Amino acid sequence: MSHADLTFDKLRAQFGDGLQREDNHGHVSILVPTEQIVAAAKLLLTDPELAYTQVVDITAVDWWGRSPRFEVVYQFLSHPNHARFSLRTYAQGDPPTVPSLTSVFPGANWFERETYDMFGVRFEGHPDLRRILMPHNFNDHPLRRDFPLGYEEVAFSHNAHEIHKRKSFTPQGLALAAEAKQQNPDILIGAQSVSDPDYKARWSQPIEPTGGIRQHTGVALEDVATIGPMAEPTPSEDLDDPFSGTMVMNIGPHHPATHGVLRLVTELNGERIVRVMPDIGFLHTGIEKTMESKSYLKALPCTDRTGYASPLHCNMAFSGCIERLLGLDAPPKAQWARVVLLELDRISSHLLCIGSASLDMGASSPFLWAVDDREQVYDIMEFTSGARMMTSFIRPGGLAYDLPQGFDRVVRRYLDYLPSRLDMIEEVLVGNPIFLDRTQNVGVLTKADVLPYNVSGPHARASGIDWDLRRDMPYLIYDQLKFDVPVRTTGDVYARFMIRFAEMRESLKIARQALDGIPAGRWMTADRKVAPPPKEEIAISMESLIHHFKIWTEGFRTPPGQAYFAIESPRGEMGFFMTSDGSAKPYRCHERSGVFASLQAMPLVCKDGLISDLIAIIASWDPILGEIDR
Amino acid sequence: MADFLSQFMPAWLALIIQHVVVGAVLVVFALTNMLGITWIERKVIGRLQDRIGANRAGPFGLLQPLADMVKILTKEDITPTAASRVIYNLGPLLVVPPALLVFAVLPFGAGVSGSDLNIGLLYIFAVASTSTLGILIAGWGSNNKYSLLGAMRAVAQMVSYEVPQALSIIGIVMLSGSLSLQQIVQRQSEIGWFVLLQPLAFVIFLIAAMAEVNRTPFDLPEAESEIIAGHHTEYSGLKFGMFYLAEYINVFFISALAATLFLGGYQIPFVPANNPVHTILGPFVLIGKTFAFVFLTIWLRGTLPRVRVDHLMGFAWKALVPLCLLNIFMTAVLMPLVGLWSANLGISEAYIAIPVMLLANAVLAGLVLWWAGRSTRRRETRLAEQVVPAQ
Repeated sequence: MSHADLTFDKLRAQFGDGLQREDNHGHVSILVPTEQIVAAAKLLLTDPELAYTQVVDITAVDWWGRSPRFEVVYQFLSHPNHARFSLRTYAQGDPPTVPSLTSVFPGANWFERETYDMFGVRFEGHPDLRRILMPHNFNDHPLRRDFPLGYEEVAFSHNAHEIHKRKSFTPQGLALAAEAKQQNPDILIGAQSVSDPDYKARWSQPIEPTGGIRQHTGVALEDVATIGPMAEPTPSEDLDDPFSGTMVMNIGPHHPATHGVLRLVTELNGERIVRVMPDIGFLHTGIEKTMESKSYLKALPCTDRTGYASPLHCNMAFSGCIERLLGLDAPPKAQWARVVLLELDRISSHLLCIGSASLDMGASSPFLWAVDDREQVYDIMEFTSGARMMTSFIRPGGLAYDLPQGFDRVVRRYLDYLPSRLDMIEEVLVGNPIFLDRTQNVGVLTKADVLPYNVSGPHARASGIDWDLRRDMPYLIYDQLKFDVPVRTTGDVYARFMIRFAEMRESLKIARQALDGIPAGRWMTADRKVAPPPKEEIAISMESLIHHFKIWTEGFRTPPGQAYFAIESPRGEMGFFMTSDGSAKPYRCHERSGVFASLQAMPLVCKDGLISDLIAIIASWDPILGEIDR
Repeated sequence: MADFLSQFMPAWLALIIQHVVVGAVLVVFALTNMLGITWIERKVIGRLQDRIGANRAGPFGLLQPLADMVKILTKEDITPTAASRVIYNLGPLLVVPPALLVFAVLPFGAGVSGSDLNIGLLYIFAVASTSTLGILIAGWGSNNKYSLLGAMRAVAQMVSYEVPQALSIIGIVMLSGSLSLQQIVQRQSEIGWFVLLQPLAFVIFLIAAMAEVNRTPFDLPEAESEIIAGHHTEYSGLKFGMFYLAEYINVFFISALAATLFLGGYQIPFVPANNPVHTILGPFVLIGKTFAFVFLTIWLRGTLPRVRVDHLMGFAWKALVPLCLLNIFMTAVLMPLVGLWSANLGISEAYIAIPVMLLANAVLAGLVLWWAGRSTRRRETRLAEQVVPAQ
């Protein structure tokens, strides 16, 4: 009996036989009545046999036109049992409401906020239900199926009136949408909303410009509000101290050390940090919405653009999810080659993290050395796929093309070259007492906080959680490779650095083994429903030409169902949750990024540090805003 | 020069003209070297970081400093609306003069200096410390939180590091019996370069000087990854250029001062002090020694990360100041003995002073290193206990 069966039985024993089970190539999910979701989650967590220690993902699916409309989906992960399980429930009422899981899993916080922001599903009992990605004065929930997609000009203006005039929800925008509808009646989302009179009426009211940017930047700390229980204001011990007055400082979104557009609202007492509140969403591009409007193959390049520091991992998680929906396995050659590429990708991402972190700490040379070494990974990627960064090389069913001749030689040369460079970078940083002083015992994430706050990947391993999806829930051919999972116990900035160094060395080992093992054969699945016919055939066969054309225009279809597929990305568990309605486009496509989840634990470790510590902590957290904001 | 001019004009006018000319020469000298340093820094840092460095403007990018200057001069001059206008504009004006004024007492040869003040060292420290005021004013007047934090860091750091910097040269003053830089250089020809007599003070002086001029690893007041650019966050164009200028002139001056105090200034090694070759080569020798120190600062910048603010203050007060005091004590005890022995044995003072002081410094340094090493070993064992063997 698999662990999922056991879980199902236990849930049925507790909540009655009416539970519906859905199996999708190993992905088991159960529909639970709304009012029982918290109890069910609690059972999953507390039952010693089940021990689902983390809720790794929460999102919703909008079944527009059905009632109840919003299906909320929870993914659970059991570290002791190496098992996954999914619960589903329907949000009832108007506004659609589900009980919040934050009382059971504090790490559900940001996922529930995101679901509220994107779908308008309210989570009863959530300590801090605010928008997280969209601006706080935004009026709708963009991932709802009736939210119009596109027809929006890029507005190079700070004038709120100008911008609103051009939005698709204003009369001008609706006119544009209607025009597009005439030209292409198949346009789904925006066009349907245009034909919906209620919708039109709702949006025809122009939004009162509320001062826009000025108002947004002028917020006080209390407007930004607290982030639930984890960032509650510390009762100030020195109330009698005349110098206890604090200062609120915005670090970011435009700041050299926030690695993009992370905004940290920081309350300072002198240089000492009283509170930190991350504010994200400045890079939100609605990429999930975009993916849902594209066929699977066309949605793939979107994934590169989210986790731009480790694009191949995003490709892999996306492709793996589709393969799971299709019930398909990539051919062996593709699997082994994927491992080589993924490990190179991991090295490149870790190099970027360590390099930019050293730059943040004032050491500029290791940054340039690391970037130099990283460039060479890009050279390999360019050699392999033609693109340096946005490769889109790992595709559903295999690889985009065959590996080029000489791939083996080029990669091997890099694998031989890197260790001495890693030693040099490590020596300059770790051999330096200034660096040690700045990293050791700074930003300590305790082991007890890791799982509840949804931290995964190197961050978790630095705090003593011995967990690596590559070893513990292997995908691809990782189970056939020998490698170690480095673990440290201190959980400070130093540990997070050393974990990355050690992981890079392990990645070299893995890449070498995988390179040795690449078998001959096809690089793409032979399933013609997914893979386009080979080029030679197109030249001589009319049917193949048509087939090729259909694959690239319509795309392939997936059977209806849901799947969640996760891999170990350089920043923790990266997963894709996909719901298919049987068409060639994902009905719902959700990207679960490791650093989005773990960023909510960052305020915990910043407390009572200095600004310099905050910078070191951000650097060790390795936030890639493309992944966080999507 | 005044003597020559006074044949044609009243003496007071000749004196004024002399001062203006000497001042102008010194300012041009400082500015030219500052441009040189920016070029050298770009090239050296480039090499340290596996890249080429500036190579577009002119041969080997030699015109890059000029291009930078033109760029800075043509940038838009912005005054933030919330800034306090007068104070904001005063900041950069107060930063540059101290950086230039200190050149007045720098000896370029025997009797060749802008002004041979008998309180030369005191003058340098007094004038240089006023630049702190400019930085504080700039940080306050900008009305920016980052600027304010940077200015506060700058004040704390510069005030703190002035103490070890001044204490570290007390030994030199004791050895040479004068505050005049000319005298100090002269004395080094008799007794040996002070780097041999005061190696510990030399190291402390270099560290403190690095902190005084806000160079990596002590560039906290303008730590770009923490507080954007510190006190000059809000400045653009020429006003930013003033801070930039002052910073590099300070680097050059502090290097020249180190060369003068510890490396015998304009003197060529193993050439007697009265040799006329010093008159011709002296300035070039000084510049050569200076650029050795400039190179050192650039090298450090390419290597070291930034110190944290509490460690910075702790280092000054808990490590450098006690060491300075030990050094002064050691010098005060040993130097009379050295004088006594050399008189008794009839050997030149230098032959006794150098081995004795080197030995004493080595013992002291050994003790300090042993103590520092012990705390490092403690930390390493603590770390080793933390590492869990991988599966």
